[in-house]
Amino acid sequence: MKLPFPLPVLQRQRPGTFAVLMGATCLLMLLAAALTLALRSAARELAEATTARIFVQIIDADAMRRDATSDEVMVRLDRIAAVGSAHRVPTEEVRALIAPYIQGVSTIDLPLPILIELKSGDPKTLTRTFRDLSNVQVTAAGAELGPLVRLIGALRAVSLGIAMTAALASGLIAMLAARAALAREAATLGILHALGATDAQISRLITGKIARDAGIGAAAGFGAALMVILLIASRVAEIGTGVNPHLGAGAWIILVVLTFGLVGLAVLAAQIALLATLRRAP
Amino acid sequence: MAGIVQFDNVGLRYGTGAEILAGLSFTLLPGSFHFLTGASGAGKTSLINLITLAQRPSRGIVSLFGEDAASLPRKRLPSLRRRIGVVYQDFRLVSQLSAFDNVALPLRISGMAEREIAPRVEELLDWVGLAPRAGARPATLSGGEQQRVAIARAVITQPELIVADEPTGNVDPEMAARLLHLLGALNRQGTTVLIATHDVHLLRQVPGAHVLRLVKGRIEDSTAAPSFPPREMGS
Repeated sequence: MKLPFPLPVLQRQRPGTFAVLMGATCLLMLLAAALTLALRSAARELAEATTARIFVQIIDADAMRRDATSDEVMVRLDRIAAVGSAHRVPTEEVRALIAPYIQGVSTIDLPLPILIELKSGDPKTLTRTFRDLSNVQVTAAGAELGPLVRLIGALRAVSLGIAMTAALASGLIAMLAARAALAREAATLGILHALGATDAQISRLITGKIARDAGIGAAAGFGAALMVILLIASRVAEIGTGVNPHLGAGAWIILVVLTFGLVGLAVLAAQIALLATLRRAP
Repeated sequence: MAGIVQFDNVGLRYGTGAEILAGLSFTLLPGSFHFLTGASGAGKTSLINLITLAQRPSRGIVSLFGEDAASLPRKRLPSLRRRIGVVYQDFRLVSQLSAFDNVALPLRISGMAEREIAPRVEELLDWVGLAPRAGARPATLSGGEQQRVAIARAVITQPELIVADEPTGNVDPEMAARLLHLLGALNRQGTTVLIATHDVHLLRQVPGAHVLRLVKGRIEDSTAAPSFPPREMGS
C-alpha cells in the first residue's frame, strides 16, 4: 500500500520554512522545559535545606544563664517525640555566621547566642514549649524562605506554560504546512484519488516530508538549546549561590524525549489535518 | 442481469444552478461496449465524473458493481475506483513522474510488488509504442504520446470497467485503430467499455456497440443500436 514516488514538495533540496519554524519552537520549548526542570531541582534543594530546619536561639547576655537555658532546652526537646536530631551549633560556626554582619569587629568578647538546630519538628509546638523561657526564640527557616519558594513555583508554572505553548504552536504550524502542501499538490492528489489511492496513502506522501523537516528543525533546535543551556549553566556556576539550579541526567533524558515527542506531535497534527481535509473531497 | 453501472433517475447540479444532468436512467451490462455521444456541453464529462466517482449525484441512484455509490462509506470508494480504468481527455498524468511510473501508478496504489510491476508496465509501454520513452516525463512527450501513456495507465490493472473520454482525440488513425483493437480485446474478455467521443468513424469501427446519446443533459434513445452519424452530431 505504498506510493514510492516523491511529490514536488518532497523534491526540494532544502528543508522549507516549516523546518525553520519547527527549529524555533523546539528551541523555545526546550529552554522553557529546561528552566522548569532546573527550577524543580532548585526548589527541591531549597526545600530540603530549609523546610525541616528549625533553629532554637538562646539570646542572653549572661553566659551562665545562657548555658543553663540551653541545657533546659535540650532536656525539653528530648521529651518531644516529633523532634528529630537536635544539636548545638558549634560556637565557631556561629561566629562565622555573624562575622559578615559586624564588619571585622572581633566576636571574641561578644555575647553570641546559642543556636540549636533541629532537623524536624513543629515550630508552633516548640514555641509553646518554650513560652516560659523569655530568652528563647524559635525560628523556622522554611517559613522565612516561603516567599522565595513560592516565587520559584510561580516561575516553574510560567516556564511550563511557555513549553506547552511552544509545543502547541509546533502542532499548529505542522497542520498549516500540511494543508499548504495539500493545496499545492491538489491536482496530483486528485489523480491519485481517481486511481483508487486511499486517504491514508495520500496523507503518508505529505507526512513523510513533514516528518523529515520536523526532524531537521527539532535537531537544530535541540543543538541551539544545548548551547544556550550550557552557557547559562556556566554563568550560574560562577555566581556560586547555595541554591544551584542544574540539570541532572534525568532532566537531559526528558529534554531528548521532548524533542522526539515534538516531532511526533507535529507528524500527528499534520496527519489529523490531512485526513480531515481529504475527508471533504468527493 | 445486474448492471456494472446502473443510473436510476439521476440528476446533477452545481450549487443552486440548473441541473446539468437530469433524469438519467440507463444500465451498462457486464461485458457491454458503449459509446457516449453528445454535443459539447451536453454533459458527457459530468456523466463520466459520476461514473468514475469523482462526483456524487444531486439526486437519484448511481449504482456501481451492484453498490449504491452515493450512500457508500467514503473509505470504500477507493476499492470501487480501482475497478475502473479511466482515460481523461486532458490525460491527467502526474507531471513529476516518468511515463513508466505513471503507468505503474495504479499497480503501486493497489500494493503490487515491484518485481511484478516492471514486466507488465514494459509490455504495455511497448504495445503503445512508448518503450523507448519509458523514462520521459509528460512535459517532454507529445500530446499523442501522453494520451497513449494515459491509455496504458487505464488498462494496466485490467479493470472491470474502462471509461475513456475522447481517447483518440490526440492520436493518429493507426493508433486509434490499435486502441480500439485493445479495448475490443478487453471487452471480449468481459471488460465493460464506455467511450465518450465525437469521432463518428470510431463508432463505425465497433459493430454492435451501444450508443448513449446525451442531449442537453438527458439520455436520448439509450437502447438503440448504433446509427451513424448520431442525430445531434449530424445536424
